[in-house]
Amino acid sequence: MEGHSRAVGVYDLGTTSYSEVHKLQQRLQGQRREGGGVDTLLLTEHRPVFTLGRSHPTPDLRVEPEAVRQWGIEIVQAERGGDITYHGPGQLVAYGIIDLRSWGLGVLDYVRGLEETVIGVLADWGVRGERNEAGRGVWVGERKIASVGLNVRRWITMHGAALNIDPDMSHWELINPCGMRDIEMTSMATEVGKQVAFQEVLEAFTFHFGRVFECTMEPASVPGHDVSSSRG
Amino acid sequence: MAVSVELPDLGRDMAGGLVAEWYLPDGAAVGAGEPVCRVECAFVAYEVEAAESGLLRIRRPAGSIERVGEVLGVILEPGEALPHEEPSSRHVPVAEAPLVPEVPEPEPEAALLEPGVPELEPELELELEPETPEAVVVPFPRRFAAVAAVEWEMAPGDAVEFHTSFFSGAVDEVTHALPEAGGSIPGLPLWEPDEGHRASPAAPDGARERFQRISDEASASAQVLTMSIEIDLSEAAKLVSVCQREWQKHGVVPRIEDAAFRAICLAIEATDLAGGAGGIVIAESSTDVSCAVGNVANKTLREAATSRAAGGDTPFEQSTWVLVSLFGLGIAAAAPRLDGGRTAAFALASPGRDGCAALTMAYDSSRWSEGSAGRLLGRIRELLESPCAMLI
Repeated sequence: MEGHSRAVGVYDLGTTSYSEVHKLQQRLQGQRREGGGVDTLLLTEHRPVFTLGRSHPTPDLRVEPEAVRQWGIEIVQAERGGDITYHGPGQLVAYGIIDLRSWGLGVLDYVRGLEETVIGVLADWGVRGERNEAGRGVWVGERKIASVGLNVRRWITMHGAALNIDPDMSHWELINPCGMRDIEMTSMATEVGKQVAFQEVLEAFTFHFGRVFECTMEPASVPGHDVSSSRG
Repeated sequence: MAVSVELPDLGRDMAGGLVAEWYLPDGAAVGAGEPVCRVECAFVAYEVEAAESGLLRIRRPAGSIERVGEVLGVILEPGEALPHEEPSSRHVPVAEAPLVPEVPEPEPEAALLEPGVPELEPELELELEPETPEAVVVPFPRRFAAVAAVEWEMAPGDAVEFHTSFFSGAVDEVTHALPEAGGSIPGLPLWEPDEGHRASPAAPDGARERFQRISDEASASAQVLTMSIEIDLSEAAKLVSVCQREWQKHGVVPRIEDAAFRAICLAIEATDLAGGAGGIVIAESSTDVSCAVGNVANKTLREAATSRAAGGDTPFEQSTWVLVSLFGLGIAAAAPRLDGGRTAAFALASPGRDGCAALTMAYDSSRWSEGSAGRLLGRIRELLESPCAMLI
């Protein structure tokens, strides 16, 4: 057992645009690939954006593209696996830049660990999250509450998991999430039946990530970046 | 010294993955550490890097599903010749290529869809075999001929008669145009053999009225509905091809029915509908094989296929749903009969030239709503058309 020899720097980035964090991920993954940097967990909530998987460059929309533009939602291409998904305020996005080889972990074990982390968070709020053969991610019954998607190069990960805390669910109605028709999305607020504090979920996610992967979580701050003022 | 570009093992019983994209064309120069292709498995995109610098030669095209460890391409030093492929490959190495194409080893029935399996890049193919096209794999030649003989002679509305214990005298019509999920044909399996089920557009007026009356009565009282969907099986055929190579050491020969069986099982589980043991009936031209696999939701694709090949592990009567395969019979569509207290019965028809086959489901509408049934069929189609998820 590796024990707590694994350490992960945790950054709470507040509310961000998808593209700025994407660039940050690429930089961190590149550093890690070259043997530098440290294992990192980036936590954020994005401004509204639809992201496309590498093999699905055409957005699987339920409405005309014009309608999406009217909502002011950006559509960007990501290099992760999977199909279209949505990120927006009220959704916790966790990006891990992890050297899986140094952790002795397979990619699919890592995916499973991310799902386990979300299941742990949901349990803290009395919600039973499960894996579902319908697809990766975490589900509450037949409703999907969290998505996973990874890009891996030289066993260094980027991208990760997105957990719906209390996002604008009407945005999900514009797409076929993960390319699956008839999929129903849900959120923690819906399942719990009351408001759920974003910051508490973020802290719980950090705790369960450390528990599941048996690593020490080391909070770090981004110089000149005040989370409290940036979180929308 | 040539170095290979292989499909990585991403862990957790991963059997294979999709070659999603080559970033460079065949013959391009690559630098050490440069990403050359992306493979995908479930929601993971893995970028495979060149271990050395050199000349990239692509062996497995984008879009193909390959097993873990498969050599997807090689990187050659300048002036180095292309090495032979491993003997396990289904492609014939150039040095051993016979002047007269040999009859290939039989492959499973799924290879009926072999045209959908991607081949080598054209320029590489030409270099290896300038005049001889890739040998066409004809599985079970006699059976292929028998299927081909009947497959294209039948016209819509023709009655098809075949005898299996499961259908036991139920004679269904060949129909080419099937409704999409959401449409339903009420009561079809409830008709008595001597009543309206034989009615066709050419039937006399009296018979048509009788057909209509029975149909109306059935739809008013029946709790059995049928629903059909067209599924492109070419990706599932690739999956079967990958599994065949992977499972050789386990002595299991996968069939397209195994993929369909697994997809149905996963879809039933995902939609939270009543699951339980699944039955499978493989109808052949002169006989049929039936068995049931219990605890099927907790079995992997290989475990379920192994159980199926061994004759099942549960009495057939205990199956709560059943898949009837007409895959090899050249029948374009058939409505399965729902009996034995089962929740649902599925009939997988033979694929057409486009690789698409009808999957028809009869289900108990008192247990499943029409919306649930439609979602179920939709999920089965998604799984069979993007079957990577079933490899895990």
